[in-house]
Amino acid sequence: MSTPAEVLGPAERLLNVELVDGWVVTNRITRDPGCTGQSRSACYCAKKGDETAFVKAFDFRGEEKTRTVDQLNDMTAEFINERRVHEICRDNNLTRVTTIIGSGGVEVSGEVVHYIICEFAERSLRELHPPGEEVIAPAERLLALRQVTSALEQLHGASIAHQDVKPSNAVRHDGVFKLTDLGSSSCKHLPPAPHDLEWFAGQPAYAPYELLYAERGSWEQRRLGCDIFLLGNMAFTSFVGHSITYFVVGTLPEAMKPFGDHAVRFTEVLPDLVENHRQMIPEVVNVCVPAVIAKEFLELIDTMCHPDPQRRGHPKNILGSGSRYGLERYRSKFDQLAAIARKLSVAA
Amino acid sequence: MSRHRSSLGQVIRSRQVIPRWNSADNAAALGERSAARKFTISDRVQRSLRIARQEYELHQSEATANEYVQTARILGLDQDPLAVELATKFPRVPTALARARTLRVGEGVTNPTVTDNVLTVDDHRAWASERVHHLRSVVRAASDRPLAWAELSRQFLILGEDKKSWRAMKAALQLAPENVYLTRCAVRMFTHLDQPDAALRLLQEHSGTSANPWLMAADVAIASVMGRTSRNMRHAHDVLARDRTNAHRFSELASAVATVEMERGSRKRGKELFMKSLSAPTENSLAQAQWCISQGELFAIPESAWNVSSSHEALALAARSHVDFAAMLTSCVAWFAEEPFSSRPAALASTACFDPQLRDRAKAFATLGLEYAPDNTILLNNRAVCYAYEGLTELAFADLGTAINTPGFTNFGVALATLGLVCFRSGQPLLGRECYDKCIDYFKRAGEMESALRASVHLAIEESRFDLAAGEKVLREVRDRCLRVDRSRFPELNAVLTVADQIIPTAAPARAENAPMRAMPARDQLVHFETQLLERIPSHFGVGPATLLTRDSAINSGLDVSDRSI
Repeated sequence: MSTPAEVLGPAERLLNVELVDGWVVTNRITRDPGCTGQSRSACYCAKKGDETAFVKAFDFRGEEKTRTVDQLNDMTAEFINERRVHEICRDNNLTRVTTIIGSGGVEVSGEVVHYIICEFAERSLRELHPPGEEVIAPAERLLALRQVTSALEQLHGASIAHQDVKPSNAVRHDGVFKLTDLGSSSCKHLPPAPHDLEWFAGQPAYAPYELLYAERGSWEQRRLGCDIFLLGNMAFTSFVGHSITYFVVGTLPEAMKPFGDHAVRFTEVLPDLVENHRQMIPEVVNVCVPAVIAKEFLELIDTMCHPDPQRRGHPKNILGSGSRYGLERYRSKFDQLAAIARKLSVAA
Repeated sequence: MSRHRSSLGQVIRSRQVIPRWNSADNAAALGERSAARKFTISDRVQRSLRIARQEYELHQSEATANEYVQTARILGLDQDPLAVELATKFPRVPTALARARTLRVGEGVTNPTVTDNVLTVDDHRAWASERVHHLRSVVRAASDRPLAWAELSRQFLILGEDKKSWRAMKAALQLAPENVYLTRCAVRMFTHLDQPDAALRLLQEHSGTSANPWLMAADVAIASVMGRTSRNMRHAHDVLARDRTNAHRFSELASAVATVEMERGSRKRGKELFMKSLSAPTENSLAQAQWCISQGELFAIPESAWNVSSSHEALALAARSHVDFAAMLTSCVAWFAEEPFSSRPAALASTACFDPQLRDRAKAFATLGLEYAPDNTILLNNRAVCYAYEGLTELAFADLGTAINTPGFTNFGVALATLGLVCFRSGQPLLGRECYDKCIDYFKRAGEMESALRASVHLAIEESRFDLAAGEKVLREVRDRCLRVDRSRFPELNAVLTVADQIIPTAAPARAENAPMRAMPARDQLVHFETQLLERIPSHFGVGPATLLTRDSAINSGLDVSDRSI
């Protein structure tokens, strides 16, 4: 996979440009280089007085020049999807998701750049609680996870699946952790976004196994079930330092890996995934998680990140008491474990 | 189909492409678990690596490096320059995975170390018991592990606990009913347990049998074992007729269909399919082709086909064809280590019992095989032969008795020959000659000329121990007859003739020096045994008691008993 030369599009020339409602773009954070190196989108900070916001600008003209009309269509659809999901979150008062401030288009060098303005959070969970670092108190980690669970619960309540829950997408804003980056999200009430046709929407390093092997399932299983896995994976990564997907998939025989020389069906690899999960994960958790909560934490990981998507979810929910992919029991469990860990640290 | 086949002929003359029970990792490495199409990495997946790279470049932290390395490795880009650089810079990332791998290997499935010597029963049983103990605790702690259940089933099979083996496999199949690997393991288990109908039902109920060539191959083979035609046969022909890029995937199917074609008499079509299966063979399809060649079919296995790893059965069959029984035994040791529950490697290896140099190992194999298959008549017979040669005629007689009392025993010719040997070695040459004569007669009437000639050579060897001239005369007659037989197809005949050439010239002096003949079993016992055996031979063979003229009665009636022309 060679790295193509970067081509700056109009979305990357937004510095000092005034956007809607008096927001002025101050500095660039990242750019999405796309597949060809041609810029797809760029992220900025914008200021209005003392307030700071996050701006995501999309470069449709650049796409139009270099790509096919289908891809242009995909990109506009993704932009519309992300904006509308944000609007649904705002309309439903989802307080644990970064709120959309505005959106619109601005002309730069004769070309229109479309953008979304959202709440800005300077630091993500990845920077605040570096995964695997022992200096972070377990109670703090668990509290953060509890807040992320609440955020996800709010999204699911609005029939939105985030699909890219990872430490860098949980940001602290006004003292609470919120979920951000809804670019990979899917809403049941909106037309399917282009990424709904993909195997998975987020990062492969954190993705549930079945999506790496292109296994299709119901919307709930593929989207809400995916979020539960990603949340469990985030909890695992937070304590262990590495994702559960990396451990379980990385130790498969070469011929069984998802992007190896041979294709493998999910039904074929599932027993191997279960075997790896059962062999390694308890050992790893026992080493990285305080002994007093290790057993319950492991149970949590087992139910959230079970390789078999049919067995994912809280056992009581699976048995019929509550929503199949309900998160409230997990929120309570994180709370409970955080309290135990806090008591432990106070006693110490 | 009898679970334990009763003669070398049946072991050698019948073979189907029944799936091997490899470990899950081995099966994966051999490509048995791959799907038809390779998925391509989509644009979005490729973009995720770029985003991870950008994140790392922006933050330069261990966490972002970790994300990049993890993404690259999951995408199979282990050699990505930045991933390699970051793995060196932040060693915690690869170290964690390496540590995790050791956890996995620690629990992995490994067979006992294969050496040139036959492992003892205790070695195998102790190892299998240890594994059962461990695996039981594993599935007790977490019962959702299909591979652990399947391995438990395999270990129970090694210990001869058939019911427990079936129960463990049932648990594995309930957890992963659509898994191709586990279905093939179950088919192997059912075949071993002499339940081909259950194996066929399992295959027919599997949704992937008509699409997956590995399952289709098993379906064709099992139907053939049951004397039926697979309902996927026509589809299998269609699939094989299409040009395939992944020949390895279709190798066992081609081999299974080729075997059926050969059985039906379509030898040209069968050979074509065998050649197709050999373009990228599996160990099983290679063994099948070698077996077919040993049946006298004329086609050559390409040199490159022998690069297949773990092709122990094929090597054993090839060594037998080349009359290299020492090499055959060595390959059988490795074959047996992989399939300790199977009696086939032990049965094949124990046929080397005629060779004084290999007799100890052949006997060890027969004893080992009998631990797993106590009613296997070929193993019992071959061990009886070893005992008889060692002078332990009582033990030989006991083994032979067990063999003929096994339900479904039909291998009368071989039993008569072994009884003849026991008689000779018990100091009853007249009775021994009679048994050999009856045996030769039986084989001739059964149309098994090679077996008749082999029995004659054995008679010559035994005869020479009492009368060198008589032994040499018999051997000369056999050699004359051998001129009319294509000996290249009969390695045992060639080998036993070589042994006779070495033994007969020195036989008489040896007898004179080591004279004491074992008087046990008693003559009456031997006569009774012979009568019992002859009574069970179907009348159309013409060697039953009705036509029996025992040597005693012949002598009493004044007939010349020295003429034993064959």
